[in-house]
Amino acid sequence: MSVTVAHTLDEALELLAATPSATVLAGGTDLMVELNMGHRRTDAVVCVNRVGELRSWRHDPGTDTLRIGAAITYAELMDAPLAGFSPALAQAARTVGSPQIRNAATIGGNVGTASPAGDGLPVLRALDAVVHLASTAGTRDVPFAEFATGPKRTVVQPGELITGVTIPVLNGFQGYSKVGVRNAMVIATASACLAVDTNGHTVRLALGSVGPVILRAPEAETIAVQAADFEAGTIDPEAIPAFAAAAAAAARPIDDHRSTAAYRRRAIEVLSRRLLTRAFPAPTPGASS
Amino acid sequence: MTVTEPAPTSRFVRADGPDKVTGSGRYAADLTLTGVLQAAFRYADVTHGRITRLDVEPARSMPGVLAVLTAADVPDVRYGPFVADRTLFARDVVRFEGEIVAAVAATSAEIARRAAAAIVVEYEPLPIVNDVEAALAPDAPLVHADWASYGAADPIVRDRNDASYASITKGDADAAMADADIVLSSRYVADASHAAPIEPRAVLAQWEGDKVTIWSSTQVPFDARAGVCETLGLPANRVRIIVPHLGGGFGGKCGFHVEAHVAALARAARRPVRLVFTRREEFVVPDRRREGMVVELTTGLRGDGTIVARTGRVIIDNGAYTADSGFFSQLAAMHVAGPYRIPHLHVEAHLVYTNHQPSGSVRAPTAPQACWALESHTDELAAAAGLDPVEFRRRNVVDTGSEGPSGQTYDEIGLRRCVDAATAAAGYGRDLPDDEAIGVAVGWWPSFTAASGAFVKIDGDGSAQIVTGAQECGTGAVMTLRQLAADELGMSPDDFQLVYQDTSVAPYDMGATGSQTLFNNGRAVVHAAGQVAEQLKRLAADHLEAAPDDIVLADGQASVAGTPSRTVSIAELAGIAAGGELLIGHGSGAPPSAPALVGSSCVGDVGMAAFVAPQFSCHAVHVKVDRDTGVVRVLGVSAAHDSGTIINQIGARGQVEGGVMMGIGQALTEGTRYDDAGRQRNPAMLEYKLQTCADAPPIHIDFVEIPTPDAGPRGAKGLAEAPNVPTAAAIANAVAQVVGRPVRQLPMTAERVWNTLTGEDGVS
Ligand SMILES: Cc1cc2nc3c(=O)[nH]c(=O)nc-3n(C[C@H](O)[C@H](O)[C@H](O)COP(=O)(O)OP(=O)(O)OC[C@H]3O[C@@H](n4cnc5c(N)ncnc54)[C@H](O)[C@@H]3O)c2cc1C
Repeated sequence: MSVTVAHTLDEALELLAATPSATVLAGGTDLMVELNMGHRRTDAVVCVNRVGELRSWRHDPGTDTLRIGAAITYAELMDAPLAGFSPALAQAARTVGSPQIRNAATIGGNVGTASPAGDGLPVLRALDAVVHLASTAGTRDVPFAEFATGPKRTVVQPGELITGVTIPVLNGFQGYSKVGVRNAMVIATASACLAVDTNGHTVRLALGSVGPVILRAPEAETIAVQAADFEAGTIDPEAIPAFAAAAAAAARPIDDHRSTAAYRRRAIEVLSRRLLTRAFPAPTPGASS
Repeated sequence: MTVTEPAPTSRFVRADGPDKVTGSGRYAADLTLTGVLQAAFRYADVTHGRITRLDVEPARSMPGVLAVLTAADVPDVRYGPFVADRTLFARDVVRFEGEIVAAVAATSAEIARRAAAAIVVEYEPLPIVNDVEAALAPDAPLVHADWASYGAADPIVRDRNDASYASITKGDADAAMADADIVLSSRYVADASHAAPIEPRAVLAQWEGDKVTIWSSTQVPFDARAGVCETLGLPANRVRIIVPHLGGGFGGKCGFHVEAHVAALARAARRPVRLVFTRREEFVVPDRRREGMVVELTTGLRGDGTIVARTGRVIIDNGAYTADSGFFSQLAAMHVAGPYRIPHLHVEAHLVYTNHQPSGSVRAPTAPQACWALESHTDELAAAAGLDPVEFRRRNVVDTGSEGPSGQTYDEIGLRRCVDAATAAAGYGRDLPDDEAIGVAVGWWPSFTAASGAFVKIDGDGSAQIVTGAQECGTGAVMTLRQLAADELGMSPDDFQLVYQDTSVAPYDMGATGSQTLFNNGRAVVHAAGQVAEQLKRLAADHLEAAPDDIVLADGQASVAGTPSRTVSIAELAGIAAGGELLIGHGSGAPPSAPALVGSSCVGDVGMAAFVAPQFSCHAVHVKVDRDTGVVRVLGVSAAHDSGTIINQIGARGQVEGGVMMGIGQALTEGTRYDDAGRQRNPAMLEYKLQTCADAPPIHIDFVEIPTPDAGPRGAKGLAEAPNVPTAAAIANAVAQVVGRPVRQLPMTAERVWNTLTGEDGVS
């Protein structure tokens, strides 16, 4: 097996073009497990977590968007200054693994693995992130919604590298919650990200671990938008159960050795209700309760 | 006397600590030898099947492979400490997924694994026994068709899939039950769980002529040696087991496992051979899984809440072979009887074969699950009697002078004081939010008596050694032996080096099992050190021209009592001794005998109904239940223990903390799940959720130290297993208070708690 450490983006892309079957290695926290368990084999590895272009991030004040390089780690995402741009991504980052894992694991790796349980992914889905891909043939941008085609399957082509993701910097509440069985090193049984865009008057709810890919809950979002007063930061409390029920209905969970579909659906209902209540802590004045 | 803070004199640093925390300590997997080969096993492909074809040629012909072994290449020996139902390699039939069919030694681990996979095995499928209750049906398929022909230890009562039946009977339970004012029945089901030591086991074997040295990560080197001798037909003095640093055991490394396989490979290959388990193998292969259990209990009360009768039935999942599990039936029966005064009792237990991984001693075998069932039942009884659960226990638990369920009368014991201490520390009875509660459970555990030996010597320069058969598995118990020898000889613990974990150097000890190191080997060390003390006193008496009886050993000096100026250092005496009668002591203090049982009768009696130096405990656990998701958080644990005198406070507190954390894991997040064929569905750290540091609640510890007549050195009883007994039970009782009724399955996962909250647990 050959292992090559790339130091620039061009170098990485050249290496991938020369060996399209090569496997990209970032933090290795998914890949090394798969290789060790024999779930995956590879003859060539291109290591990208020292590539400067992937290790950087940029806030564009004009569009008020944040571009995060693929090799930015969870440890970096959970602290200032990045945490200020996306509180939900920071929250999700804090729930990942252990300090050792968060120091190594990258957002690009989370996106690349495309596990329905990936903690960063519901946030990217809620924020309508764009994934940036590059190869020697050029670059392309893929909406996160179209990036994963199934559990651990993506649109990334041989020779292509994830260079980063771009998310909007929203004004409004953002929260990420997951149900897991212990306080650290826990894979989500079910997870949800809620993001409110106070300026654009939208509420976005994305669900993890309850479908082959990360899901949105459009009906629930509509219920919330109709019931919310974005200026006052209030919501009609009667809408909250309907919102939670619609979120649960949007989930497409399965029974497996970690949990049952029924419990996962229930967990989504609870997480959604709690997130919406946190987003709009005060009821609309005069609303029936 | 209740001690909560470590006494300053007993604060000493473990000798193995710096090695372990700096990473310089060497474990079995770190060792290597010139020319070493790597081993791999081929495991059964089915959980129950008759081997119709076994072709090892594809492995043997692979370049780099130097030995391939199957049942045909080793002596035809069936072994097992209680029932001889096991062979080194599968003979004709495989009975669980981790059964070893063949072994390979090759120049690299990769080649060995590939070769093992290349072996061709074909099976005729046999019916799979996957349900421990169904296995007891008269027409159930047999896991061992030839069970009746197997040898077994005398007291073991067997019938078909029931590998060991035990009952304890006292009085007339049925008649008393008929007269009781309140009768309540409960049923509880506990999943199997695992010891999960951080170090997966590793074995390295090397032959020199007809002698073999085996480095093994075992908790019980003498047991491992006995297994090698029995299965390979060798005398004990040609097998030497050495244990490097052990990366934890929790019972999972008790018993004899794969040492003989590796030794046999090394002999066949004429090269040293090394085997290192993967985490998956550590989960699936050893006969050391904590047994799954079904418990049914009925208890009769008088109107005032006094227990008058109990009947109980325990069904224990033995798995495919009987490891040390032969004593589980009687021990489980004792644990569902519990430390209560019960005039009329009939409890019975069956140890039942299935096509699962075999069960074996994991920290306090049978006790946490049985205690969980019993103590949940006890809270139900208290509610039925209209009594507070703690008050109910105060009325019914055994105390000094009372008769226990098996007809044993207890000397000084501290169970009530444990209840007082744990509930006081937890603030039991204070107001809590609706979603929080404090649950209380009591537990008990015997001290195990066994033969055990040690040597103590002081060399010419005055430095001392303890050469002991005892095994350190991380508890610090062996380290504590230095303190006992030091006190006996008036020296400091730091004056002693330990030589241990080598069967060819030290006398026998049972190993790091049964919480027995200090209890039994401590006695041996005191005995051996006492002999050296006598020698020193004689030498000092000559030197100082005094009577030996007047010599006092203290602070590294021998002096004449009352005349401190007449003194000689122990080092100087050692120098004198070096020219003549060497300073050597040997000890194997006589173990205390089992207490008498009066008025009870036991079937399948393996000596577990009489508790020598019984240890008692009470845990009070404060939990918070998320009613929406069923997620349980443990906010605090108060643990009170009567383990007699605490000799090493730091070590003892570490044991309680570890036992509590293991109990929380068993209570909430661990648990093995099986598929339809009896294969484990979660044999990996990702899916088998142990507790992490981030989950650890504050743990308050009280030791209730009272004099115990039949205890070990200085009144110490065992301690390592006891803290694992009542934690899950106390958590269950707290959860049941919040939820409104008990969760009848262990672990009480979030989903099961939620099902109970919503009434979807399928039990009323
Ligand atoms: C102990 C442990 C705990 C964990 N806990 C969590 C958790 O709580 N939550 C969670 O979400 N995850 C968890 N994970 C999984 C893992 O840490 C995350 O998915 C992480 O984000 C992966 O990032 P990485 O940089 O390590 O990826 P790698 O392992 O290096 O790569 C992952 C995959 O993405 C591909 N890839 C990586 N970078 C690129 C790129 N720039 N372009 C194209 N393809 C790329 C790789 O080829 C590979 O297929 C855990 C893992 C471990 C070992």
